[in-house]
Amino acid sequence: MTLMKKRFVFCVVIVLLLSSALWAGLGSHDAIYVGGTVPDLKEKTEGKPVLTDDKAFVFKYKDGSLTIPYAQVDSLEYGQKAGRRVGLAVVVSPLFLLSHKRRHFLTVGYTDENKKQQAAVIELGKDVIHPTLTVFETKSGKKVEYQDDEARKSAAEK
Amino acid sequence: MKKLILSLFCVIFLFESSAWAGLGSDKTMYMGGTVSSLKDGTEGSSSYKDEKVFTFTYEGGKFEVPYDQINDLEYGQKAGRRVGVAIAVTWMALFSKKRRHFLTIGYKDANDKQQAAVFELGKNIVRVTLASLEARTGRKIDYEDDEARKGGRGN
Repeated sequence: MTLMKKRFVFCVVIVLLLSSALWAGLGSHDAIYVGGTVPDLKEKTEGKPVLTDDKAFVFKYKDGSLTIPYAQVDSLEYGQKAGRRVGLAVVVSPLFLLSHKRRHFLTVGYTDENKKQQAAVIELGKDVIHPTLTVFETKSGKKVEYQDDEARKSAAEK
Repeated sequence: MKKLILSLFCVIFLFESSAWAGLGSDKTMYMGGTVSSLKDGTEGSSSYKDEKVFTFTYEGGKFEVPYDQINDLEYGQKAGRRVGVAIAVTWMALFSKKRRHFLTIGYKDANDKQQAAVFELGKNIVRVTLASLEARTGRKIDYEDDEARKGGRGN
């Protein structure tokens, strides 16, 4: 391999590693607090959803946890965002523009211990969507509102 | 070969959202309305972190609306084809749509006069902003149509 070819391969590898568009994906068992009104929790905090507690949904992150008692939940909404795989299209093949990358969002509305209404938007990894929605519905007694039939179908398949 | 590497970086750079002239994905723009202190097209950042007021911060100032004065929230979208990208990069971009997201806030000002402000929201803050405004104001968002409802929940 010539020096120039080596340099080219090196550049491609670096671009692949650094391109946020390519590797910004969330782990399939993880979750991100995207944002909302939760005090003291930074937007885009990554963590794990814990579904084993009987009384509350727990979002565990590096420095702590957010606990939402199921009894305090008053609304559940699930939506998706489908984006083109632009990064892969640029680096690998334009055909990737024809495929979609889906992101999954659960919005939980609840009242906190001070009886104030709060909202938390949580992005779910693809392997925890179905269990999370099922547990929320079962334990809170509230039905998830789906963005559309596509979202309902997709959540059921996961 | 150098040219190839250079063009690869150029293309990657072109696809970075920050390289585009459109509204940044985490930004907000005041599009217009009855707010005399704000110029149409003012770009800034919106925040729902404060428990009492919605804040739009821009270069040289801040605009605030108390949540308890808000009496109307509407959300709509405008979709267009990516013609620029199609011309500059690949015709395949014509298959995808670029969406713009608009939030209209109706509220009473300090003199009890009805006011309205239309904001364009960057695509990464749509869902969070709408959910937070609903929680803070206790009002439901009026979606322009089913497509907007879908977009507002999916972002």
